[in-house]
Amino acid sequence: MKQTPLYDRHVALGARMVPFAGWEMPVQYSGVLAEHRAVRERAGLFDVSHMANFAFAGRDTRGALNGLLTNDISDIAPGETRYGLVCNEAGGILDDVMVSGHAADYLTMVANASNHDKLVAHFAGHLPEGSWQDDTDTLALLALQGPASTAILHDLHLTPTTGDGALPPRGRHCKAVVNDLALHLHHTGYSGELGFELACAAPHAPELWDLLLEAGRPHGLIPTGLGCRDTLRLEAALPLHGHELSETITPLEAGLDRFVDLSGRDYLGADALRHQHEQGVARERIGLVLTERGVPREGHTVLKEGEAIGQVTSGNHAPTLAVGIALALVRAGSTEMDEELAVLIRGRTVAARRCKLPFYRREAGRKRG
Amino acid sequence: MNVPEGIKYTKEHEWCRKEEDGTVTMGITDYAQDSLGDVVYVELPAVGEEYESGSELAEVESTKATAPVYSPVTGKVVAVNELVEQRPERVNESPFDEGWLVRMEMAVPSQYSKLLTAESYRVHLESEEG
Repeated sequence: MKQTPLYDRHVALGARMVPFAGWEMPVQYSGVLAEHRAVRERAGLFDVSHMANFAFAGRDTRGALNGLLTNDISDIAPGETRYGLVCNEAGGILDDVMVSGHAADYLTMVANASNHDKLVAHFAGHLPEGSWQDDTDTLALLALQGPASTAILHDLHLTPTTGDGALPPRGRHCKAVVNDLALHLHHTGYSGELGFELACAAPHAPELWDLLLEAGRPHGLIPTGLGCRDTLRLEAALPLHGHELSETITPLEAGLDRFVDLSGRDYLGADALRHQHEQGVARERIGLVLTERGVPREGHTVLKEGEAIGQVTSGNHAPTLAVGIALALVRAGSTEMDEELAVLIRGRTVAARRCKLPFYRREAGRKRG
Repeated sequence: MNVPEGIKYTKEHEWCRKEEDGTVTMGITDYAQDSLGDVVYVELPAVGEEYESGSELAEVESTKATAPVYSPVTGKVVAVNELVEQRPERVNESPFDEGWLVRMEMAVPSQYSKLLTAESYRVHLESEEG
C-alpha cells in the first residue's frame, strides 16, 4: 500500500485511513457531514497526492497526445487547463483527465489514481519513447476547496510568478511561491465550489499543508477526506470514473458531448464516437432526486411505471440538500425532465423524480469569506 | 469504544437490553456507529412484524455504506424509535440510549441469556480489530 508524503499528517490529525486505488488515504477526519458542510460554507483541504501525474515534453508530443484525447488540445495555451477523455478504439472511456499547457512543447496531466497503471501502459503503447514521464511519486497535490479559498490564499501571502500576477481565473493555472516554496496553482476542483489545486514537489508537501491549515484556521478551514470529496462531487453531478464513466460507457452516453471532438480530427475512438453520434446513443445519464425517504446506491434499478429502464451509477444522501440523490444510466429517451420515476432499493420501490443537473450549484457572486 | 455493562451484545455489533416488562430494546453499538460514520438514514420495521433471531430487522445507512441490522432475538416488534427516522444522527451521538432502534417481545425468553456479555463482546472487538 502506497502512502502520500502527508501520511504522517493525516495520522496525527486522527484521520481514518482506508485503502483506495493502492494508496492509504484519509476517508474522514471529523466526519463526512461536518467536512462536507465546511467545504460548502467555508473551506476544506484535501490531500489528493494519490492522483496520477504525467508530463509530456518534446516537439511532437502535443500531436501524439492529441491522438489519444477526445477533446482537441492542439491549441492549448500556456496557463490553460482542459478537461478531456482518453478512450479506447470502441469509444469506451479509459479515464477522464485534466491537461494543462505550460509551453509549446510541455504539457502535464492529472488522472485518476485507479487508472494510473492502465494509462502508463496506454502511453507506453501509443506515445514516442522518452516523450512522457510518470511524476505521480515525485509530486504532491493538495486541493483547497470552498468559498473562503481565495481569502486563505491571500492570507498565505501566495505570490503568482507567471501570468499577470493575479490568482488564475477558473480553468487556468500559474506558477507561484509561498515562503520560497515553489508550487503550481490551478483554479480547478472537484467539489462544485470555488477552489484551487496546488501541486508541489513531494518533499515540500508537509510544509505547504501546514501553512495552508494555519492560514485557513481563522477562515474555518479544516482537513477534509475522500468521503466528503465523493458527496461533494455527487451533489455537483461531476462524473467519477468507475461509476458514471467506464471502458464500456462512451462520453456521449455519459453526457460529455462538449468534450468530444466530432469535427473529423483523428484520435483513438473517433470513428466509434462519430458513428454513435450519427446513430444516436442507446443510453443516457440522468439525475434523480428521491421524493420518499431512502438512500439510492450504485447498482440499484431505476423504474418507470414498474419497468426497469436503467441503473444508478452513483447515489447517496446529499448533505446540502438533505435528500437522496442519484446519477443513473438509463435507456435514451425513456424519460422526461421532472418525470416521476422510482428506484428499487433492496426490494423496496422508492419514488423519485428526474431532475436537472447539477443537483447543487453554488450561488453566483456569493460572498467569498 | 464504549461497551456498557449490564446489557447483551451480538457478534454483528447489535446491543440488547432487557426491560422491566420483559421486552428487549435493541440498537447498534458504539463500535458499529463509529465504523459506519455519519448515519443519514434508518429504515425500521413495522410494529407487529415478527422476526427470527439473526434475520434482517432494520437498515442503517451512512454517507459511506449501508449496514443491515440483525434481530438479536426471535420475537415481535412492539415499538420502534421514530426519533431516529427524523434525526438519524442520534444513532451516532447516543447509540445506547436515544439512538435505540427497536423494542421486541421475545418468543423464546431464554435466548437473551445466550447473547454475549459486555466482557465477551469486548474480547470479540479486540479479535476483530486484530
